[in-house]
Amino acid sequence: MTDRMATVHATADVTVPISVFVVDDHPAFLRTAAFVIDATPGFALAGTAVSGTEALDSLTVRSDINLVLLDVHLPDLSGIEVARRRAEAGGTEVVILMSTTDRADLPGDALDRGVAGFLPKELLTTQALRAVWDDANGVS
Amino acid sequence: MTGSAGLERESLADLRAQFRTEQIASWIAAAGVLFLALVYGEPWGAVLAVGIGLMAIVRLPAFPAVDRNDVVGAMWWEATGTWGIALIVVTLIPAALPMMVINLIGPLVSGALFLDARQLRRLVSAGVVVAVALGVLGFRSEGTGVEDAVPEWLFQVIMIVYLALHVVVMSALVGVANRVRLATLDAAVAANEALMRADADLRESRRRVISAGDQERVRLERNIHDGAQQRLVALAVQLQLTSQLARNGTPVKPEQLDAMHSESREAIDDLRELARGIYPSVLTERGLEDALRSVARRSPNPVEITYDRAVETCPEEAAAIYFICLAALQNVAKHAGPDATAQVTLSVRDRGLAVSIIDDGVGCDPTAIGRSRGVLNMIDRASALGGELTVDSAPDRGTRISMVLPDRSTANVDA
Repeated sequence: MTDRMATVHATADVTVPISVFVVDDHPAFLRTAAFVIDATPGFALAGTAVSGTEALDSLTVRSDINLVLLDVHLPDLSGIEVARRRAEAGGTEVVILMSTTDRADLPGDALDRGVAGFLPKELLTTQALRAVWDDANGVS
Repeated sequence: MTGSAGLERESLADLRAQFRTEQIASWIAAAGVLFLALVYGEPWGAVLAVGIGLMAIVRLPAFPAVDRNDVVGAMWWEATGTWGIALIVVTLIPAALPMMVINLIGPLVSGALFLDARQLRRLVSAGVVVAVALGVLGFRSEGTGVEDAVPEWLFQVIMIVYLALHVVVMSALVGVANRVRLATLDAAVAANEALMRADADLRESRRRVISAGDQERVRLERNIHDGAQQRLVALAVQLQLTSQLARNGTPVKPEQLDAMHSESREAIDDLRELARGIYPSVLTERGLEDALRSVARRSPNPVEITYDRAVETCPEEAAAIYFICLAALQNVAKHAGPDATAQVTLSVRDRGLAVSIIDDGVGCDPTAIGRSRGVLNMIDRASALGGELTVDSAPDRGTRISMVLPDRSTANVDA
């Protein structure tokens, strides 16, 4: 998947910034994701959550979120479960699962329900952020 | 069965009682014969009475033999006396041969019940010799006619009573043997049960040790994942971003570099904590005393360490004592209350080691101690080295953990 992302040519609409919501229980990664989003033209950090339930609560009431960077390992619900519930609730935001765990160690159906893609945390860059967004929106 | 192995104290008492009954019977018989000899004025009767008495005396050493738990010796003294009576009786009264067969068989029955195969073979060989001698005497001896001194009916009555009494005596002997067998069986069953209990305890302890190891790996994985790994991931992402910005000619903000620096410092701290949790380097490099003092310095509660310089530990003992003290002091920090102080004492006792960790904190419900995974962990560590660990506590009475490790030079022999 990351290979494919690397070949995607980003053509995002930069006039309206894409609102990104980050869910992670590690403050270090929240700070880092904020740096990267801030440095990516056309993307803006719209909010963060440190648990699955907090993420669900926020996403339910916010209609402005376009992209969610969702950690797989959360202290309460798993990111996979959060994505599934958002999909069942009719959420339209693009959900990208993130983890420090190998893709192979995630459940086989982790990306089946409500998840647009998987991005290893250490590969988060401005290009990768734009690439996952374009990829999820069928831009190539 | 137990010929050379010895018998239980109760079985020996049973056997002794049996011998005493036979002694009394012999002396009553001797007295009865002597009485009849006097009544009927028959000198051979007196000879017979003396013979029976002599043979009763020959059997006397069976008592000290039983007292020494020398069952084989006792059996031989008994057999000698019993067969001796038969030989004397048949020599004087050849007609009594059929009755004396029971004297021939009695010791062989005892031997079959109490002796092992080798001893029994020797007794049977002797029995064959006695049988031949009895047969020759019975059929060839002229006899003394002593039985003719008493009326024929009286002789018959005496012989019948003799037979009947011997049936009773032999049954009692079989009863003794049976009780011995049951007692031996009971002892074996009890020993087996104790062994099975010990085996079950050992299995349970081994399961806990493996489970504790697995739980420790889970804890380490979580620590690495949540700590150093997250910080390094954040650092990698920030470095990549910074490099990209620099390449694009965007000035790098100092606070971004500061953030990266602090991420790297925290990753280093996390790794140091982890390494110490896996195995404290101070323990391998500077020894148990320094390692314990280092634990004491990091403890939020005041900890006093008394370390007897005579204490010597092998690496396994040092590790066990270190991790037990570490767990105990972590418990003090977590549960004993902020005002609690602790004392750790290591000393030499009976050439083994005594370790105690005592605090004056709030204590706990004693019934909860045995269910604590941490306490079971400590007990397993202690018993793996052949030692014992006890935990005493009560509300408002503090907690006392005492461990004794055996002298290493004898630990393997005892275990």
